[in-house]
Amino acid sequence: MERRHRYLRGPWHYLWWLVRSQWRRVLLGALLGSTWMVGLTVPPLLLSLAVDDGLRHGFGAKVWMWAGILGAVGIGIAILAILRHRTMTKVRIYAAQQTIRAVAAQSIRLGSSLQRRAAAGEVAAIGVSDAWTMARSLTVTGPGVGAVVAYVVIAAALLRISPLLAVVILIGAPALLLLLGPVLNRFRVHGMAYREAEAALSGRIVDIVSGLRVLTTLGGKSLFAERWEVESDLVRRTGYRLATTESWIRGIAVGLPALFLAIVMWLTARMTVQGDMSVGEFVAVFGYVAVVVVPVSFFIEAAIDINRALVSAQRATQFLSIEPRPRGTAPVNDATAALSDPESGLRLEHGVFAVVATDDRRQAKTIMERLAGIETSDARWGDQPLAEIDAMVLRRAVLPLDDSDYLFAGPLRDVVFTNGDQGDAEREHVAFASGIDEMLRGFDDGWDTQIAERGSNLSGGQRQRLCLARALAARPAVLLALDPLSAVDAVTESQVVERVRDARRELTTLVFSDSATVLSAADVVHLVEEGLVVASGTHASLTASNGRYRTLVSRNSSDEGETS
Amino acid sequence: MEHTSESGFPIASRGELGRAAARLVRADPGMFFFTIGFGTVAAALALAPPWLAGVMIDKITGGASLAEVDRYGAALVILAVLQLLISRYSFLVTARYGLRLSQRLRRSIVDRVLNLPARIVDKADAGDLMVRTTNDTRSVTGIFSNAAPEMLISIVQVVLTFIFIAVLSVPLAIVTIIGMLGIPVVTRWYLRRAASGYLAEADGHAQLAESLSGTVNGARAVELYGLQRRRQDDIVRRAATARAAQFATLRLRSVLFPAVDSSYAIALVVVLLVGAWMFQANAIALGSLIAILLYVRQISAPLDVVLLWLESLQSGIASFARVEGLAGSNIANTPTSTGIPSGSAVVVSNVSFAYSHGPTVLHGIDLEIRPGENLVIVGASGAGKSTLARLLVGIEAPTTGSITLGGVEASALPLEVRRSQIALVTQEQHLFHDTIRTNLLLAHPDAEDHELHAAMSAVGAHWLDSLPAGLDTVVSQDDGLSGAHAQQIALARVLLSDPQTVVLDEATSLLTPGSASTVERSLWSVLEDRTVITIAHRLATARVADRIAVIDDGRIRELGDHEELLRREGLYMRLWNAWQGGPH
Repeated sequence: MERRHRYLRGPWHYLWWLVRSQWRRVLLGALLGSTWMVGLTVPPLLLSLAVDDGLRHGFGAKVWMWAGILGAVGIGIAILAILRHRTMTKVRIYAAQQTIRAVAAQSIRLGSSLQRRAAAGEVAAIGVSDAWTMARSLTVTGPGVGAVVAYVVIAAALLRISPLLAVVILIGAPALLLLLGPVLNRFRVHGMAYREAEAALSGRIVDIVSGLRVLTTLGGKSLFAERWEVESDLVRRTGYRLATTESWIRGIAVGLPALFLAIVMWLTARMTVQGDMSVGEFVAVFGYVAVVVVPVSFFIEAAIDINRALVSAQRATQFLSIEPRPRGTAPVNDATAALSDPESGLRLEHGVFAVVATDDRRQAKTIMERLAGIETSDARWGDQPLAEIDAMVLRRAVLPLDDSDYLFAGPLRDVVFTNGDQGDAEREHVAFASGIDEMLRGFDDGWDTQIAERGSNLSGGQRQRLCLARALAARPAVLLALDPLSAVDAVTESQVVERVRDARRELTTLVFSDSATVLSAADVVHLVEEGLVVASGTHASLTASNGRYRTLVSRNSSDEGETS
Repeated sequence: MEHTSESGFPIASRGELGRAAARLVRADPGMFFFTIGFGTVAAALALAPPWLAGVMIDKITGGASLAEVDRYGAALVILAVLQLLISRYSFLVTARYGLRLSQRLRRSIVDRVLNLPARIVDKADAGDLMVRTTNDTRSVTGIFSNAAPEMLISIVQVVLTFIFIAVLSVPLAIVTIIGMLGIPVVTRWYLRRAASGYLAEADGHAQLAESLSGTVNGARAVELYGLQRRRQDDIVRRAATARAAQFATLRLRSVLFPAVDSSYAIALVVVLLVGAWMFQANAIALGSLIAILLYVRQISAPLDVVLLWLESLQSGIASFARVEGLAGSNIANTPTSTGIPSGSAVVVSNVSFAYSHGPTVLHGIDLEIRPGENLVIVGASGAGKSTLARLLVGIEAPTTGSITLGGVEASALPLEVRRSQIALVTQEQHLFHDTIRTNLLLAHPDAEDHELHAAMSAVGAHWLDSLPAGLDTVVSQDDGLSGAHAQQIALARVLLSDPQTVVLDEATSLLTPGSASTVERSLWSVLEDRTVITIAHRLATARVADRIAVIDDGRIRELGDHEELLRREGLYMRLWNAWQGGPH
């Protein structure tokens, strides 16, 4: 917490950071936006000159000249408009990607602490939707600035024609915005309710489609059709409310400039009749006021966008301010020492293949996380506390394996070999040891087979062995594995356990399991009950001496109560 | 159905789309015309100021009095207030119409999805179905509630503006149109490229979002396997691809926008020149000419709106075609048998099966399962056990041979009948993001709470009692229930649906072995008079089963009870020994 970045101080700071990071481009956007919008006021002026100076004196060279200038200016404005659009589009793209990169970097930085500190779904949403909401609000830096400039220019131009008109315009616009303020606020609230209802509904359809198989085989379609109807109706009703508010904004956005125009025209016409103004000037005034609509609608949009962006920026800064658990900086003192977890009394000697016998998966996972230094604890490597060891160093040395660990999409070779491909021999070796050799033979593309995100194109057993292969390929000095073969059949299980044992000779391995197949392969077995080591020995010695161990193992393989 | 997407779901043809759109309009015809009516009035009011400006100029140059000018001024103010109110009301009416259309569309989509035949549901590409029901539907409803109202109002405005110009001067109206001829040309050029461009852009977004979501969800694995650099690179690479796609569409707009904007300028110049010449020839009044010039300037705003939405409309129509395509899948329903099953005997005779384009998975399986029997099917991974399960419940039809439930071919049974005959519980059963009650009730809608509790305790889900909200606890993927709990709910659900035969395909694999065998045996006692077919790699259950079938390489190799098979000293004995942790 000590050294918080300035941009994380609050939503405004964050948005300012997005601006500052590409200030040249933003400046260019503001310049182009202003020139463009001021440019919009030139054609009315030219049109008025064409009328006063040209038309009224008949069809002649003057008309040709003004028409030519009008055309040239029109094309010039078109060019300015597209330059502005290009610059602002780039500003938005880079701003959004800046947030996406920041979210990714923060996720990577948090690593295993992310799960505990934030909901993954919400974090991903920051990168997917909030990033763009904030980016959109940066539009205000281009046409938004331009709108203000143009506004002042129009007022100044009118001042030349009539001070009265300039005052009407100058007071009118702020009044307009004040009037819209409360409506905009309601609009935001209703908009949020509408989007929430819509998101819930879209969650419902995802749910229905994912569970379609259940609904077709077990029934319950009418139940879900009813639920859908209710939620779909809620979307309509919140949409109605939103439309009511939004319709006022739309009406005002169209109607108030028209009212402006009406008042200004009225005043102008009176002045013209009284001889204070020419017909051409009358046309110019009309043109100016018509142009005023453009900045005004930009103001309205900007107000809505910024409102939304602040909410998004709040979410982004919240996530980006999370600090990972503090980690040590020391190297490993003695890699051949035993790992120990005082809380459970577990001690893992160097170079053994040990198994913790337990059927409580949650307890097993807690012990594993402590031994791996993922959970803060008093666990030690020799007499060195794990908390002191540098996180990266520790990760290379002690690897916890849990099949709920994420599998990234990519070719099989990249999924398994996270340190890069190590060549044919190593590939064969890992495939054989983890038992994925069999499934590899079934893949037409072998190691190039594309694995989907989360390994969703594999069966449970395949996924599990793939996780095992990835862990073996990482070659950690200490491998901690949580029931790594629970989803494969008994013959394969016993084969793979043997192979893993062979592959990790000289290295330290600890498996959490209650499968007799795994237990019988162990150098040493620790029986854990209620989170504590209650007995240690070999499978054979424990089977012979410990009744509770016998119960645990036999409950798994056969039933004591009902047979013999 | 002219086209079919890769996944097998059809895409609606143009004719079908037209009919579907007409159906939607017909369902609320009054509002449709009401919407257009209001839009027209609002648009007409927006055209009043230039007209009156022109009239006033003519009056002023003709030497009008102040009083006369005041009358026009007052009229302008009143019209502006009217414009505000009517525009507001027009938007409201149109938006609400769009919302109702969307609701109607959503209803029909869900009806279609829920009525997809089982075989299609099972084979369907879930991704495609998901995209159609979420993104495509959102894109279509977005068109209905955003694009359509704005476009409608803008089109009316454009058309009315031309009409007003034509009323003032037909030749100048023609000149205006000629001046703007560049617009349709460049728009056609743009639209032809836009569809694929914006598709690529959306794909770039999706790819980047997927990579980010992977990094967030897999943050732990990133740390464990030192994938920091790799994820970072992946994000950077995909961000660059997404950016390139966005720049590509920006290039398209860089042609469209200036071309259209220049066309407006050109039209204005041409009208000014021709108008000046006509004015000289006394063919038009100065006021009318000025009004026309103001109209030509004003036309760009609504026309821009139309052009901007054209691209969304184009992709919206493509989405609409995919959404409507789902209606076609109903036609391809499986032919159903009219035979009524008698009894619950399951007879598999000489069944072979191969997935389309795949090798043969099952070879000549013969198996007669007696009503009330507990049969366990064992075998190595990939031996064909799960395929046999799918055949038994009629999701797949055998390539050769037959499978009958109570004497009727399984795959031909109508869903409702089949449901009472047989049910399959697999390893990964979907739980709905709703209360536990809802998840259970779907199998037996009239069940009382005590029945739900009974079913849950029959599958050993005693944790239910410790939940503060009990049956009203919402099942959620993020927090909440473990895989084991989910399997228990899935099992309880099947108990409630109470079919004649239950097939459990690794249905307890996520429970700890101890509780798995307890749950299985408890299920057997609850389903005492029912047939239970269990597929398991853990052999605890096999020992007490009535019979065990050992499958290897798609064939039944051994069949008998535990003792019998052990005495044979064959495959089963090897599996059993391995399971027991015996000699390897």
